[in-house]
Amino acid sequence: MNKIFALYKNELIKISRKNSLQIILIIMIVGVFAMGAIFNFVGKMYTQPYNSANISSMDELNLEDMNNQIISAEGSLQEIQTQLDSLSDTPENQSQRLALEEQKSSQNDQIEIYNLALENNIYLNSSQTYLTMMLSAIPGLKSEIRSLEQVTEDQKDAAWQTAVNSKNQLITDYLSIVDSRKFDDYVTVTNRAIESDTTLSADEKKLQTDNNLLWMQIDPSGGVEDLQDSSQVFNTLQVVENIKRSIKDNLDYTNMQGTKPMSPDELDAMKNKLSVIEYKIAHNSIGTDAVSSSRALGASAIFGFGTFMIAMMALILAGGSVSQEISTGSIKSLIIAPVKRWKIYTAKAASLVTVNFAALLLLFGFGMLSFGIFFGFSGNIPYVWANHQIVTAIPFALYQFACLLVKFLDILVYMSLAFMLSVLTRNTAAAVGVSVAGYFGGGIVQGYLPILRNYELLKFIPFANMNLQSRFFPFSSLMQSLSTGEYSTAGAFIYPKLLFSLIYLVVLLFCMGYISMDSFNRRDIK
Amino acid sequence: METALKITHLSKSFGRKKIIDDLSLDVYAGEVFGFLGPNGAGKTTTIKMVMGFLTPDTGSIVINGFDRQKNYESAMGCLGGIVENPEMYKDLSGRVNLEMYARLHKGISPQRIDEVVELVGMKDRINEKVKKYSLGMKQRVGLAQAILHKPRVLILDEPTNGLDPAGIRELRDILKNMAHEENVAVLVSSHLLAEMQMMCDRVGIIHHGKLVDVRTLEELTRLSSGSVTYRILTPEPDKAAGLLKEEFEKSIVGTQKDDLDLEIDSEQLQKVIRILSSNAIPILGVNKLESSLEDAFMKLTGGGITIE
Repeated sequence: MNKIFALYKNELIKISRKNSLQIILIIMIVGVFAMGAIFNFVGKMYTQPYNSANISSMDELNLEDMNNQIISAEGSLQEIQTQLDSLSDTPENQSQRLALEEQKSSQNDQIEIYNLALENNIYLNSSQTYLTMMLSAIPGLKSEIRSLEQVTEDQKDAAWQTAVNSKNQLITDYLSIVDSRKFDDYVTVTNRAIESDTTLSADEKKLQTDNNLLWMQIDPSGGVEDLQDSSQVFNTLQVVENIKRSIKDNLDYTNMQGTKPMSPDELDAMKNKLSVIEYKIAHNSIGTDAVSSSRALGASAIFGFGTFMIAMMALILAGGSVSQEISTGSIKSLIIAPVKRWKIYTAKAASLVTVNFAALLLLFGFGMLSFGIFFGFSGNIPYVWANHQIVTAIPFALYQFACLLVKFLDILVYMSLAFMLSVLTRNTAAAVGVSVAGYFGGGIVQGYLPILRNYELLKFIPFANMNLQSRFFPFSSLMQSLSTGEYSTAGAFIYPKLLFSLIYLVVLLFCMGYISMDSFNRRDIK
Repeated sequence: METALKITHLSKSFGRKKIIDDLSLDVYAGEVFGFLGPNGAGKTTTIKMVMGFLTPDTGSIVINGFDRQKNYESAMGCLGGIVENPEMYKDLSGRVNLEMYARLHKGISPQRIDEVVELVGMKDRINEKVKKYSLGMKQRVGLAQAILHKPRVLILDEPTNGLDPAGIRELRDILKNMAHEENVAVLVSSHLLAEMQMMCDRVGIIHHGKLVDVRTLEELTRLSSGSVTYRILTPEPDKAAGLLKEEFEKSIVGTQKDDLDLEIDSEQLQKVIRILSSNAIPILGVNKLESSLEDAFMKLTGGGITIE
């Protein structure tokens, strides 16, 4: 045991003096800061169009657009009028006349709304705010009232009267809110209208009113303050509504491939997702705003570059560890020494893992420093996950570290491959080349797995069990954008369970280690 | 005498080719044993098997009483040496290389490293990176590494490679001293016979993977000292050879452009000079060619130095 430790110490001395290691580490550290600087810049570019300075130019376009809309509405109004005039007043034309009358009224309503919007500086075709929603709703409400009024006199009972009154009341309320500009009034009024709507079920009512309350919670301005955020807010509301509806109906509405029934596991996953989103909303850490997305981009660039460099370093060191010693002849002083070969092998393997893990820690330290300098040390979105609806939040830094550890698993596998090839082929170029190709090719193969979903045995290939980040952190997609966090498992390759993958990797590492150790122990060194 | 290294019935094949064929050899403590043979005879292969680079097909190796097979680490702990050229970690200094090697042995103090470095005359440059060393300097550090842990058996494969004449002499003194004073068994391989002659107590001759002969140095010199070759310098060697043919036909080794080689003793030489001068053949000079290990070696290996 002492000898293994002595060998291990020697290996660490040897590796630490290697030029390739020093160069790669320096490039890694410089690159981590460069990535921070570049993506800080990219993030600023990304958020710029939504700064107030740019809104005025959008206003002009909007103004022009709205005037055009009024002109075209007036044009179609005239067309309807011509059609009405040409229609003879016979009973058989009665229904057609009624339809045209209805179209005429709604066009009139539309023009009225456009004019109202122009007066109040509300831009209907820009992103959704509570103001645009109200104005857009008014023509529909008016049309509903008109159709209600066409029923026969004996149908006009008390319930009918309430419906008409409430719709009229809603229009009046909306118009007064357009003047007063109070978002909470809008929510109150709208929710009251939903509650009084007899056509909706109790569940549906709750869903819709909750969603409005949620909106107020996420964005108290009702979407008028920041144009970039409001679309993200609507996304969030949409996703939450879809998830709630899915849970209510036990039908997956969030899937891109279409609605389908959910298994108990999928239902649980859906519930967990809802818990996570609700937690994020409650803690004001949805992270869908422009600043958060540029931060997320920055973090992934910094740590992505860093892990890439570490992977290269690992493959170069492991690929040359035995073959280089044999080709330069420096292995002689190890073979002559009174230590068995398996101890030499073990010390080499252990030192490789140690050095690369140390490089990972270095990356984490410098990466977080770079991130802090360019994106700020505080105010980062934590990673939130839920198991059986019990929500846990992991701080941002810890999450990044955990991600690095998961990525290290892949590096470990390819490093073992490089080490094995180094022992078996005794050729550094072959060992490094093949393992680097595997490292890149593996990702490509994994990219094609989804289209091979019918071959279940594919779960036994290494690539299906690697790149485990998204399986370790299934809620990581919720950190940046809710709309991309959709479960679209239907039709996709079913990845093996995480535990299966982990056991698979352990077995794989053991096999590669055993093969190379056996070869190293037995083969002659000529 | 105590046997420090005992090799018995050692065989090794590379593919179908038998490189070492049933080789047995004892090296005693306190002697310098020369391992002699032409290129490709199997010297290095044998040494590599002893040092653990190659696994023997058959046979056993016992070092200082420890069987290499059963007691690998104890056996290897008694062994030191250099195979072919000494190779070290080029990005590290000579001292760090020695320290790393020392770590793998029991009880080597930093003082011992200083002592050995001083002994091989590398004191001034031991802290430089190995890649700056010349071959001779590497040989010196390699020797330091080989003797660092005071091995009972020291094996050096062509140790004088790259050394300057002064270095060769120092090496010779170090090896002789280790063998005769510290009772170490030293095994030195070489194809340079003159060198062997100067440092070895016994010489084993290996040819085609077999140990052809083992002799003490005296035995070998005696073996080759039965007759002496004289070289007669004359402008007419062929004519001279013709005159001497009758009496010394068997002694004529050969003629060159300006000389004639005869394998005769000193009495016969007088007769040859008389015959030649009476026939008016000018004798410009007579050289006595030193007989050496080389002749013995040629005889034992059948004269053929072939590389296979």
